[in-house]
Amino acid sequence: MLLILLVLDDMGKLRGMEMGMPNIVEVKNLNAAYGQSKVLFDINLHIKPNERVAIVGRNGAGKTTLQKCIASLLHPTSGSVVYDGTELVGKQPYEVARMGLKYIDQDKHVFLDLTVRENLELSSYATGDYEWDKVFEHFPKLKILIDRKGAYLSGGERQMLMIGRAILGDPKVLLVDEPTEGLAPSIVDDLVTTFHELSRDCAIMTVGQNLSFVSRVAERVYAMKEGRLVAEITDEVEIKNNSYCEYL
Amino acid sequence: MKRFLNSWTGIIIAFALLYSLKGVLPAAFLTEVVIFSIYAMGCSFLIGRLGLTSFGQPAFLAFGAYGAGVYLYYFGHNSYVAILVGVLVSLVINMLVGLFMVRLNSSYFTLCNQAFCVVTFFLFQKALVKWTFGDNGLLLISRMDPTPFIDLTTTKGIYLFAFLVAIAVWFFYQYLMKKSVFGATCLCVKDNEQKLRFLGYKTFNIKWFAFVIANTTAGLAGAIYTIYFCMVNANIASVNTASEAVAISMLGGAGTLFGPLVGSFLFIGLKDIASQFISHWEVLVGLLLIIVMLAGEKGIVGSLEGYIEKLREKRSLSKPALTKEGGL
Amino acid sequence: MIKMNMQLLISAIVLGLSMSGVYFLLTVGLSLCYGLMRIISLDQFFYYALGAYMVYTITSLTGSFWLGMIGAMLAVLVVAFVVERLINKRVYSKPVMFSMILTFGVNLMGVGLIKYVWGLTPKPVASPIAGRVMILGTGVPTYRIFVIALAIVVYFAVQYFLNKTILGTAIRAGIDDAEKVKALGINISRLFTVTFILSSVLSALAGVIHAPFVMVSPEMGMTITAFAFMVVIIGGLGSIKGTMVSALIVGQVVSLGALIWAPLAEMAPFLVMIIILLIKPTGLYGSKLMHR
Repeated sequence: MLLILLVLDDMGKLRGMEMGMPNIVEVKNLNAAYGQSKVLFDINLHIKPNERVAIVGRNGAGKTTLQKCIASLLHPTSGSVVYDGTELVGKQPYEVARMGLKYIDQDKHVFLDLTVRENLELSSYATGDYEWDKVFEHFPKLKILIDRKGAYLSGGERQMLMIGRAILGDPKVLLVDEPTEGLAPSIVDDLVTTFHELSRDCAIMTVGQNLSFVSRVAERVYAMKEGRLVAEITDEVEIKNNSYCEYL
Repeated sequence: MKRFLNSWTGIIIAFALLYSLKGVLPAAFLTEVVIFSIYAMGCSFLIGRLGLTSFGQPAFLAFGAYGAGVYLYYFGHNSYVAILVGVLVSLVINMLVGLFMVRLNSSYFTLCNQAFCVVTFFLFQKALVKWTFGDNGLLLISRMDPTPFIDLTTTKGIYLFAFLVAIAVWFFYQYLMKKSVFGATCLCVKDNEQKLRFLGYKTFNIKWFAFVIANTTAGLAGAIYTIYFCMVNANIASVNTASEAVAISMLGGAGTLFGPLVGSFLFIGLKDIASQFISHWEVLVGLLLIIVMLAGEKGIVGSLEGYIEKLREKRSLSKPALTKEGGL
Repeated sequence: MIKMNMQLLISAIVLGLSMSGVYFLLTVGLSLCYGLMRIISLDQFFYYALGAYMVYTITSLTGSFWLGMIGAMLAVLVVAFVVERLINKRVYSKPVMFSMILTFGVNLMGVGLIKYVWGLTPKPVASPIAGRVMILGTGVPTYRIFVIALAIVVYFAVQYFLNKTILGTAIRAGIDDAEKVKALGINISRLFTVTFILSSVLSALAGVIHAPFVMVSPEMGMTITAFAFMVVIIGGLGSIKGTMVSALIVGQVVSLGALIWAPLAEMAPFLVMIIILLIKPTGLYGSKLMHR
């Protein structure tokens, strides 16, 4: 019996039991613009707890803008973002991060002058969470690199650090922007495993164009085109086949 | 209305109106307003159209002023020629200084300009004191001959002359800002210089050229100042007045055509009235700068222009887009 | 021929070093404010002058220079806090030009207020430490040595603060990428306030220790502006080490230049600045972040 349960858990079907729980993130009618130039049109989406969701779309479709709006790093022109029952629009970005919704940028820019230790210390200072063991559990390499400055880390190591410092404070939602860009295939493999492990503790929304990565990681996919969500795919087979690319 | 104001006739009418105020307001005040607005025009152009803030404008004013002054004191007696000399001196200095200044990014540009102003003040006050007599300056009343056409040695003459020069300057800037490609490229430099460079434009040349034009305008104002005051001393390069040029530009609206004039009028007027109550003008200028910057950089004319634009948009939107005949 | 004897030289070097100390204290604030908040905080010159005036007043009232020093720093702390919260914070996200003109306005207002409260006549502040110290056979005022020592202590204190404390680490991170610091959950506007207050208090300290050297006058901020700018430009905005190095350079250039030809003291730093900028338009240690 235990074996069956474990297998089911691996396949993600156990999370179906959590479908009865309310969405951890609920985005309604979100619109955003840069000055006069409108970028997001009436976005409606949701994220369930511990879910792995992906948004795919071409360059310039608005994926980063969407994530930044959810994390309150950008101000939408209208609409609402509800996280764990609280309205996020209008809140300061640091408040949102402390509430447990973290945004991880795609530029892999860890603070260059700071060591790995200092990067983690900053995050601990912000969240009050000094248990670094969980970071090293996911990313043992960071323990070895603890005193190396950000400028001397490789792309993969930087990505590890960016995620590592974000999971301090036990966030419930991670918004990861284009995690696989510029990374070697073996590191991407590691990332897939990491995402599966991480989602035991928090929901992950990733945006990107790497369809093969999405197919290995996501349980649900939104297709985004020119600022609009044009499709929502929940079927596993479709996700694995990337057959939603026709929507892009 | 805006189009009318920005046309050639609009400029002439605006200045004619101002000129005719001679009966109502003191001529000295109006003359100072006009000359200062020529001075501020250059500053406003740099800030508004190129994004380069210069707290060192008095230096460029001074070179024009001393050019004219030194000519009159040592060489000749014709005021017209003196002004020409002043402008030429200013032009040459600006061309040289510009080569250096324009390479810097906007923060360093501002700081360097201010440093340049301090050095220039020092130059005229102490280093060249043998020729410039420092704070006492050069007194020129006895060295100016009456000039043909408009006698610049009379108050009436210099008054009229200042206005005519101002109109000419305004025509020039009207062309530069609204009708020339150069003016458009200046705005592009302010907006996104890198992109302009990628498009193949030599932004260095554009900035240098604009720098020279703007500061030679200041030099021209300086030369006229010398003729007007019949003297020139080191105070003209004083750093204290550097902020006034910037304040006036921002108050009127940096980069607008009439901004310097409006700003000049209001500022000098305000200073004259306020100095009867407040003994220290700095509080006024400082407060003004703070208010203008917090309100957004548009200034009075800029905000007016924006407001008029909005009105026009509203009016055109309320009209039907297509008429029965099928055209607009 | 220039008559240069050993005593004069040593005297000039020490003088230069003490000037470097003053310049450093004044410009470290400018550098930090630019690095973190991307503003050119020209009102630092007002805090410098205010510091000098406060020490004058408190010393006149209580007779203690040291009390005056502390009082001046506290007064400026309060003023800077008010200015930052009310005025400066509104232009952080705007182009640098805004902050330049705005803070210049604050500076001007401040000078006007100083003139109103204290009047136009320069005020003397007595040196708190009398006596001379013999260095290599030359008598040097002890107070100058104190100024040099103070500047060195502050330099190391600032470096310690930036490198070994969590707040300093956050500031260094903010200088690198302010948005990511926000995304990590740190209230960056509080960081800005702390940095601004720190900068302003250091500027006030510069005014305090400079006061015995010069007469305290409303113009003192303006007078030192050009030199401070030259230090900042040569050293590059945003680098503490660069500021220290260029303060040393400018201090020596001013004092040794004055030995050769008095007017040179004013012009020499400018010439050095031009030369350096011609070679490297972002200054010696100019950070790569300075593109606009």
